[in-house]
Amino acid sequence: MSVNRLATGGLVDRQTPIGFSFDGRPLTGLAGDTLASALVANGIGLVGRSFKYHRPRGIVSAGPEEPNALVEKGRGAYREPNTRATTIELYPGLDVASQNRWPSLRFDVQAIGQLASPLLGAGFYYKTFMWPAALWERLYEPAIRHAAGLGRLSGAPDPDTYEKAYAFCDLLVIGAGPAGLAAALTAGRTGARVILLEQDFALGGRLLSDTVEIDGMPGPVWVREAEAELATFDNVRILTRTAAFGLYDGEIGAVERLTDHLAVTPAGMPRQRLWTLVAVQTVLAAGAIERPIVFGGNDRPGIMLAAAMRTYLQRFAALPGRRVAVFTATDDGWRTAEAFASAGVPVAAVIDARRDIAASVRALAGDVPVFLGARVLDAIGGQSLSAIEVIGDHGRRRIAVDGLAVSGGFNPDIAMTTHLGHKPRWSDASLAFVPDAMPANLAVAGAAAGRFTLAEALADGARLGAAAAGAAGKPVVAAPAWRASDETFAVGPLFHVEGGRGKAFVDLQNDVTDKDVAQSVREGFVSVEHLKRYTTLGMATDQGRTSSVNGLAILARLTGRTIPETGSTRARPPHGPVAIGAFAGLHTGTHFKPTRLTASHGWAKEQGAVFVETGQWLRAQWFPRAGERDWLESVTREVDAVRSGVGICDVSTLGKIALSGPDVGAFLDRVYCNTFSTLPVGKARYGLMLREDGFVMDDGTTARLGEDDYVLSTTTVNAGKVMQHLAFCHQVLWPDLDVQMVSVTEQWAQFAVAGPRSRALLQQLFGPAADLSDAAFPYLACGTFPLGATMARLFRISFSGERAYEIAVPAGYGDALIRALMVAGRDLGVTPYGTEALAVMRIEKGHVAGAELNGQTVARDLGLGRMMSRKKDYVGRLMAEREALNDPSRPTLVGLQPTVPGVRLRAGAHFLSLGAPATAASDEGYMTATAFSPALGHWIGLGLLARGPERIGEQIRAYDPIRGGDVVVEVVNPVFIDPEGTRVHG
Amino acid sequence: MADLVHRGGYAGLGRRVGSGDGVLAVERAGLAAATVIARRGKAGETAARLGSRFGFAVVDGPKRAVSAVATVLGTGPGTWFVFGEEDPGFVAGLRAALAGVAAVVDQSDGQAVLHLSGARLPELLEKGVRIDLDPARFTPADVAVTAIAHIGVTLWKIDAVPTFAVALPRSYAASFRHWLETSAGPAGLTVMSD
Amino acid sequence: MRIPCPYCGPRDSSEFAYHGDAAPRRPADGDAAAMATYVYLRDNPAGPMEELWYHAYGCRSWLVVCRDTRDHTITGAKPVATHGATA
Repeated sequence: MSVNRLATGGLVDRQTPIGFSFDGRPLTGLAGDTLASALVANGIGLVGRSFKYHRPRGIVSAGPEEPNALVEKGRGAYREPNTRATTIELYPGLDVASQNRWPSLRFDVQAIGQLASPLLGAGFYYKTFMWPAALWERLYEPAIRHAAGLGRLSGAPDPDTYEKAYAFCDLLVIGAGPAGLAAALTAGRTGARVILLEQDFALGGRLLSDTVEIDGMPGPVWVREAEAELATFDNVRILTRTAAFGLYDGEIGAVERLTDHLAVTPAGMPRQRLWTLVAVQTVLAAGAIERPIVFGGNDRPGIMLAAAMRTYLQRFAALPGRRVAVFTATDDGWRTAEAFASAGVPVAAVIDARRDIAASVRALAGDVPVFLGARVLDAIGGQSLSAIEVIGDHGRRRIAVDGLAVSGGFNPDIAMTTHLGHKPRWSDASLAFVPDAMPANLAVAGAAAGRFTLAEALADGARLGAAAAGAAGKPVVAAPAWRASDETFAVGPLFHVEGGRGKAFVDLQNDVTDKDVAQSVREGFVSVEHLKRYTTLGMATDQGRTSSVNGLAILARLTGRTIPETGSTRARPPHGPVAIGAFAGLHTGTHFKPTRLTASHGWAKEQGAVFVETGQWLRAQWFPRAGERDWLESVTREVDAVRSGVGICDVSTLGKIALSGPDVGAFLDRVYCNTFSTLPVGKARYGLMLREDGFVMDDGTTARLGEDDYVLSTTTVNAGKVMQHLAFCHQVLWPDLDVQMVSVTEQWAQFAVAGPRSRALLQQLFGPAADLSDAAFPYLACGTFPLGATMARLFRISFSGERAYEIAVPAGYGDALIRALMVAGRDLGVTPYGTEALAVMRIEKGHVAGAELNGQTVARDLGLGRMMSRKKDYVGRLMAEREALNDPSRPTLVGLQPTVPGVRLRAGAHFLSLGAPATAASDEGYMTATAFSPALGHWIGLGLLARGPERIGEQIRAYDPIRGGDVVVEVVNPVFIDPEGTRVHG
Repeated sequence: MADLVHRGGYAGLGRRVGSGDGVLAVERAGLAAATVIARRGKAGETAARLGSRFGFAVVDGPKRAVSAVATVLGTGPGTWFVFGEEDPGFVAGLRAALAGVAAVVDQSDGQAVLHLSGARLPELLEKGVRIDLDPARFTPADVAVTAIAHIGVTLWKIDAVPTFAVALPRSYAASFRHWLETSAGPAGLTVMSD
Repeated sequence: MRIPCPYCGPRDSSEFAYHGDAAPRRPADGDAAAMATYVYLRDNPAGPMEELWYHAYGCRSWLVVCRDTRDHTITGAKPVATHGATA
C-alpha cells in the first residue's frame, strides 16, 4: 500500500492496484483514484512549476477548478498539455509528466527568475523589453516564451477521432450531486425525459466526500440507491464523464470523455463526443467551488482547499498531510478538522478568522488547539510546506505543519448562468456571487444557487425536478421529501491577509499576486475588466475559478468600493477546456465538408483521371496518358482532340432546376436580364442573372423541352445560391406568379460531347431513332430521344466554341452512358477531357466563368451589356443603370497575349500602362484567367482592363510582383478562336 | 443503339464495418420517385388527388402516407415527394393524374435511399440528426426534411421497431456512408447495396 | 439557436440561411431612388425584428422570423406568403 493510503474507508478498490508513471517514475494507485488522489496517496506533493516564477506547486483542489496540478498526459502525437491531475481517472499505464520545469521538477533553473520578480509584475509584457524593437523577435519573445507558459503541444496532428451527437429532453440536469440527483429522481419518477450530466466518473458530488446522511443513509449509500433507481427508468439517461461547457441560444454544449480513462481504446471508438442538448428546462446543479485565501506563501505545496482535503481523505482514503492545520473563515473548514480526527490524524490547529463560532461547529475540532480571530500570515517552506506563521490575540506563533487546509468561502459555480449575458448578484449572506437574472428555462439548485446545505440542495432539486416534470405534462403525484443530516455553512469575510513576507498569490495559475493588483490600481486600471487584462488575473486555463472573487475583493478594498460596486467579469463559454477536435467531430481532412461524386466518377477513376474540387464536387481535371510529362501536355492533347475530333466531358455538376407552371416565361423574364418569354419549345437560350444591386450573379442556359417543361442550368458552384435566389424571387417578391420549381441536378447525368465529330458520335449512339441533322436539330435546339430503356435529353449548346451537344440521362444510367459514348466514339478518336481543357477552350472563346463572375462585375464589364433588355423590368435593372457602373473607365473584359511568343502569362497579374509606376494608383485592372492555347501556340489571357475595348492593339504591362512576373502584353479581342462563330456549326 | 445498365446511388459502396451487427443499412434501388408541387392555390386539390389515386389520406404537412404501391412524403408547403415501387410508368401515371393541379418532376434517379435498422440505430441517428426522434414524437406518420453531417436528407420512419428510411441526393452517397461507418463505430454496420 | 419553422417544426438554425430585415419591399414602379433604398438601407434596431430566413435544409420556405436582436429570443416564424410583395 502506498505511504499515504489509509488502511480502511474511501471509495477506492484496494483489490485492484493500478500501475502508472509520473515523470517516468513507476507508481501504484487504486481503481477509483484520480491521478491527483493517487499522487497524494503516494506522498507526492510537488507536481508542477508555476507559470511565471517557476515556483514549486502542489495540488490545490480535487476537481476541475484545479489551477496548479496541470500535467502533460500521453506521449508523442497523443501528448495533451495542461491536463488537470484532479480530473484524470487513473488507468493502467497512465503516463504523465510535470510541466514548465527544466531540467527537472525538483531542480528548476528558471526558479531563479524569482530573483528578477520585480521585473515580472503586472503589465510587464507591456512595459519591459520595449526597445530596441529589433531585439523583440530575436531575443525577448523567444526567451519569454521559453520561460513562461504551461505545457507543450505535441506539434503533430491530433491522432484521435471525435464525434458529435444531439439529444432532446424535458429536463437537463447539470451535475449529479445531491441537488442534481434529487431533481433527476423527482422528474424521472414521473416519466419525464431526463438527461443527467456529471463531469466526474462517479455520481454523487460532495456526497462521496462528506460524512453526511440522507434518510439515515451515509452519502455514498444513498447515491448508490439513487443511481440504481435511475437506471430502472427508460426515460432517464445518465452521462458520466460529461462536462457541460456552454449555455447557448436554446441549447447546451457538453463534452463526453469516452476513452480518456481507458488503457486500450476499442476499435472505432472516438475519444470524445460533443453533445448538443436541447432541453425544455435545465437545472444547473453544478455545486460550489471553495475559495482560497490570499496570504504570504499561499502557493506552497501542501496548502490545499479544505473541502478538497476532505475529498482525498474520505473519498480516496489518501492522506494529504500528516500534520495539517486548518485556516478557515467558514464552518466548512471545521469539518475538515473533524475528518482528519476520524482518520486518526488529528490536525495541529484550527485557525478561524471569525470569533463567533457556533458551539456545534466548535465541537467538530475536538480538543485540538483553536485560534479564533486569527489569521495565517505566512506559509514557510520550499518544495513543501514546513510551518505557518499565525497572527492573532496571542501575537505571532509559528506552527510546524506539512499541510494546510484553507477555506475562505464558497463560490457557486454560476458561470453557465452568465453565458448569455446575464449578470450575477453579490450576496452579503453567502459572501459570494449568486445567480440573479436568468436565461429562460434555466434554474439553479443547491450550492450553485448559494444554498449550500444538504437539506437546501435536496429541496431545490425536488422542487425544480417537479416543476420541469409538470411543464412536460407529467405532474408529480407525491413529492419526495428527503431528510438530510444537519449542517451549517456560516462564512465570514476573509479574502486577503496583508503583511506577510512571502508572495501572496491571487491567481495561482497565472502567478498574479496581491502586489500586482495593487500596482494595477496605482497605475489606474481600476475597472475589473482592465485589472483582468493588465494583470492576466483569471485569464489562465482555469478562467479564475479560484481567483476572481479574491482579486475583486482586493480591488474593491484598494479602491474603497464594495464588491458589488466593483463588479464582476462575465464568463463566456467554454466553461472548461474542450479539444478543438471535438468541435470538428468527424469533419476533418477530406471530410471537412461532404464530397459529391458524379455518376461517371468510377469510370473516370478507372481512366486514371486527376480530380479537382469544384464546390463540393470532385470533377475530373484531366486524364493523363502514359508518357505525358506534365498536366499541360495532357490538357493540350485534350483540347486538340476536341478542336479536331470529338471529346467528352462530364458536366453533371452544373446546377439544373426544373420549372413549370403557366407563368414560367414571365418569371424568367424577371430573373434574367435577357428575355425568355419568347423561348419556343425545343430551344435553349443563354441567360445572365443579376443581383438586385445590378452586379452579375450567375449565367447558364435555359431550355424549353416541352410546353410546360423548362430546365434552367446554373454554374456548378452557384447552384445552391441560385436555387435560393429563385425561391426568394418566387416566394418573397412575386408569390402571385404560378411557377413550380425544383432542383433536378441529381436526377440527370450530363455530358458535353464536343468537336467537329460530335454529331457522328451521337448518331452512332442513338442510331436511326434520332435525326440529328442540322435541319432537324440546329444550334441551340433541345429535345428528347429514346436511348435503350430510357430517354435521353439532348441540347445543342457549346462552351468550347465547337459544334457541341450536351446529352443527359437519368443518373442511374450515367455510368453506362459514359462507357457507351466511349464505345460509340472509338472509331472517331473520342477523347475524355477534364475541367482544365474546358477552361482552356472557354478562355480561347472569351466566355466568362467564375474568375470574371466574381460579384464585382456588371454585364457591361463582361462585354454582355447588349443582353440587358430595355423592354422589361428584371432583378438588377435599375441598379445596373447607375452612372458609375456604366463608366467606360471601369475595368472591362479584354483578351491579352504576350508580345514575345513563349512568355507565360499568369492570372492575378495587374495591368499598368507602359511607363507608369508600379503603384496602386496606376493600377488599371488585372488578369482573370490564362491558358496555353494549343491552337495559337502561345499563352493567352482574359482580363478586366480600364477602358478595355478602346485599347485593342495597345501594349501594356502585366505586373505580377508576388511571382516576379513583369511582361508586356498586347490588348486583343477576348475571342481568340473563331471570332465569327462558324465552328459551332462546323 | 446502345442499351444502358442502371445503377443505384450506393452501387459498389456496400460493405461491413466492425462486427457489422449493430446497424443494418439496405439500399432501396430502382424505386420510382417524383417531386409533386401544387400549382398556385391548388395544394388542397393536389393532396386530395394524390390521396384518391393511392387510396389514403394526404395532408399538406410533413406527414407520411403509405400503401403497397406508393409512399407520399410531405416535404414542403404544397410539395410532396412520392415514391413508387418499381414501375416504369409510375411517374407518367402520376403526372396524368395530377394534370392541371400540380407539377410532377421525375426524381427516380436523383435520390439514394437506405433503409436503416438494428439494435444500435437510435444512437447512430443521434450522431447526425438534430431533431427529436423520440418514438412518441416522431412516428411512422412523420417525415423530416433535415440535414445529417451537412448533407440534406429526407428522413422517415417505416415502422416502430424502428426501421428508418433516409433519402439523399445520390452524389452524396459515398460521403453519407462515411458518416454512417464512422458513427456506427464499435456498434458495427453492414451496408447492403447492389 | 432553434427556429420554429411553421411547416417542419423547431429546427436548428444551421438548417437556415439568413437574409436580413423583412421590412423593405421591392419597389415596383421603376423609381431608382426607391430601389437604392430597398437594396442598401437597413435599420438596425435593438429589440424584436422581423427577418427573412430561408429553410434551405428543410422545406425550402422563405420565412419571416421574429428575433430579438439583443438576446436572440425568437418569438415566432410565419411563411413569407402572408408577407406581401410590394410596398
